[in-house]
Amino acid sequence: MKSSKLYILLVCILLSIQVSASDYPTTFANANTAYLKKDYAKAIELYQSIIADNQQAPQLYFNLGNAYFQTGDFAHAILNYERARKLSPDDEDILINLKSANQKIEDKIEVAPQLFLVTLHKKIIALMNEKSWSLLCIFCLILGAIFIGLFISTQNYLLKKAGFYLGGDFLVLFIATFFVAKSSYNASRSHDEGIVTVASVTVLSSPSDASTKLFILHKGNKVVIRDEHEGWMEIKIANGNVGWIKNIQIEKI
Amino acid sequence: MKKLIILLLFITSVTTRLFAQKLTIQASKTSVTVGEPFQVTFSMNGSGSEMKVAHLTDFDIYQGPYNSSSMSVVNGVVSQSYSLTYVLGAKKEGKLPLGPATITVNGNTIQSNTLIIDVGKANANQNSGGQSNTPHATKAEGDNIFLSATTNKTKVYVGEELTLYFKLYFRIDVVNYSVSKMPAMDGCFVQDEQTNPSATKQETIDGKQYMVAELKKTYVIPQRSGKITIDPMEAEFLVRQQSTRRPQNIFDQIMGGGYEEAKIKLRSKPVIIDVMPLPEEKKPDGFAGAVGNFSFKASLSKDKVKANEAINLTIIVTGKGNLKLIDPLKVNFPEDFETYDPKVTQNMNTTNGLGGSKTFDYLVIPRHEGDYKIDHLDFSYFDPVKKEYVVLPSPEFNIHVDKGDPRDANASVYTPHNQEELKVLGDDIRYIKTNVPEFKPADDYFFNSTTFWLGILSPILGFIAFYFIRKKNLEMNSDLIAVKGRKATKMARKRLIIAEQNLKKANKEQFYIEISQALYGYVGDKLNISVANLTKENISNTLKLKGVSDATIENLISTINTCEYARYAPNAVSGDLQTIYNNTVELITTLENEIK
Repeated sequence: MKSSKLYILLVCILLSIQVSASDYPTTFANANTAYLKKDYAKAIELYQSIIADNQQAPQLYFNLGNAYFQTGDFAHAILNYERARKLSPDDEDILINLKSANQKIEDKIEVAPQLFLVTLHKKIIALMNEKSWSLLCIFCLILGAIFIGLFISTQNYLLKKAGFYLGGDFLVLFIATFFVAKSSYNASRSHDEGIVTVASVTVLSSPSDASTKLFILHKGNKVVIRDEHEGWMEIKIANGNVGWIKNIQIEKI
Repeated sequence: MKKLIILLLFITSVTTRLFAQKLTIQASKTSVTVGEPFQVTFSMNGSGSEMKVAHLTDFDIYQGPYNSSSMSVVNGVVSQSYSLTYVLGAKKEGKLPLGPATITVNGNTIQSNTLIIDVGKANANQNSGGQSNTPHATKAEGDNIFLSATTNKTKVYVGEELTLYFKLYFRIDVVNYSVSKMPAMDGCFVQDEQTNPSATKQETIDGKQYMVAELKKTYVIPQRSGKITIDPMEAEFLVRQQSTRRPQNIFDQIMGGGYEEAKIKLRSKPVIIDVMPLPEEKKPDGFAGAVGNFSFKASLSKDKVKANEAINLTIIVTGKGNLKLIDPLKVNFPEDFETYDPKVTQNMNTTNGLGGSKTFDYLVIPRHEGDYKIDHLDFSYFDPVKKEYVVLPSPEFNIHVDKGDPRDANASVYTPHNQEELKVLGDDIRYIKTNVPEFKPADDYFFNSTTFWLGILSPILGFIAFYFIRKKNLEMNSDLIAVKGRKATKMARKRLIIAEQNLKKANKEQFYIEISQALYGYVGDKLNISVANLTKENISNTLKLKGVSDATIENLISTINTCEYARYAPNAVSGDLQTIYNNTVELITTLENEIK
């Protein structure tokens, strides 16, 4: 079993990989202080400066969302909470503040019922972030390999049996978590959701100003982007309605 | 009266020679204080009408105007005079002009001089109405009638009761009165006592006899220490007094004229009470502010009850003092008792000071059986006469509670500790996260990264490596055993050949040694058992595991036994050596076949 020690070492290395921090912690702390002093405009500016450097963290988006919330810009608050949730789907604080922000916006859209399996799939993916799922996947594979190794090598009947079943189970789990991690990865990479950031948008039936007006969306509404075409986006809202709007009216999550 | 005057004037006017007419203002004092009454007379010789007085706005008219006219005939010369009298009081300080007054006589307007009244600051002491130097009417008020405010004590403790009297001293007829301002007594508890103002007594002050009426009697209990000033009481009196005017004619005198009714405003002097704080030393615990002289009784309605039956604890405080201000006593009921706020009833009387009794009715309900005790209660009060605290203890109460009727308990069960839902006071978002996170570049994902694939690949590679390493090891191991196994048969055959030679030589001892060694060696090598572990028991167990039949094992063990026995006692063993040899060969062949 010499090789298992190697795996543990490997996992340790994986876990200990950290992005070397530059001055972002200081900026972040300054922004938090500004928030505490109710200087929300300054806090927003500082948080945004970190994001502008292509850095991200769920806490960063969450705090930025809070700052927007305090200034009354609920659309941007929702946008940033959604971004935070994408990075850390299991954080209760984010979900609660997102709910509060959603209660402040004008539109209340009845969510169209979804298939049980679809919701279950979404819920499972939302349990952890992409990295955790990936690590769990590797962990299952390692355990599976160890148990199969046990199954092969032992003379003891009971150990052999345990090794066979546990090894098999972990291999199945490995495959399952691999696909969940892949879905999670795809979901967090894709930017197919957006928040309406202008006060009022008229959704049209086709990507043309002359087409039929379908419905009106207000600031803060979350939409799913289905298609993009020459500065237009085909969007779908929570109740299932679909239409076209200009892409400048939406910010992608 | 006016008509009479006009008539007289009319009669005499025919013979009247015209005078040079003059209007003058005279004041009883030109230097007064604010509010101090003084008398002003506008007088004119001759007759006139429509007297107008300017600049009276700075003054209060206390009394008047009283007009009077007189006519005298001296040596046939008729002289007339007319005067108007006011009692005034200055409204403010300073040099105030009074006048001029004008009057029209035969179409001519005559103007008077102007008086300057020097008004000084009011002196509170003068408000009691002691202006003896004012003539006529004011003199009547000053000496003949005044209000007095007195207390029975001027130095009291906080909570000690004192009595405040407002008395009217008068020597003139008082027709009626009305109190216009009652003193506000801040920081005091006040209880008015009914008085009978019409019941007057006589009192002599400075040799003058006064009638005294008690207008008001008030019990005052100061609630704070320090100097407390009781503001003056103001009242208006309607008095009947001798007219300041001399009776002008016989009719007046005969008809009992010369009396007129006047309104007088009077103020009492402010009274200052020195209130001392209660001494801090020796202040008993649980002192509830009672000051006076009290007795105290506590009683329990029953001391043996069933659970869920109510008990009354009655505390009665009787005595004189600030009974009204006594708070309910804090009783340490057993925690298990259900307690209610006490019902307070008071029965007050005000004869000879505030007093009476106060009853506190505590209702308690024991909810569980057992023996309970109510600690003794101490009622403490401060006795201002003895200047010390007095503590009155009550006995301890022991209550025995029997098991209650279970149905009763259900009926009246009361749960004081209702679990309440968490009260949401405000609604706010969760606060920002203050721990500095691990920033990573956007689009930095773990899945699909090199590390991820390494993590996936390395267990697989590790497993494969493990598998092959093990396989090789196994092969090597299995070779060793096979070699040993093959060796075993060879060795056994060798030993059997030696045994056969000994058989032919009839060397019994050597024969048995070779036979047993051949068997032991064969089994040890075949089964891969070391020499140390080569016991008969071990052998039979291992063979059993290898699937060798019991008969063969038994045969093997018995042969080994026979050989060992023969080795140590060769002569004791009977039997054919050839048979044993054949048996051993057969045994080895069988083992060779049966061991898997």
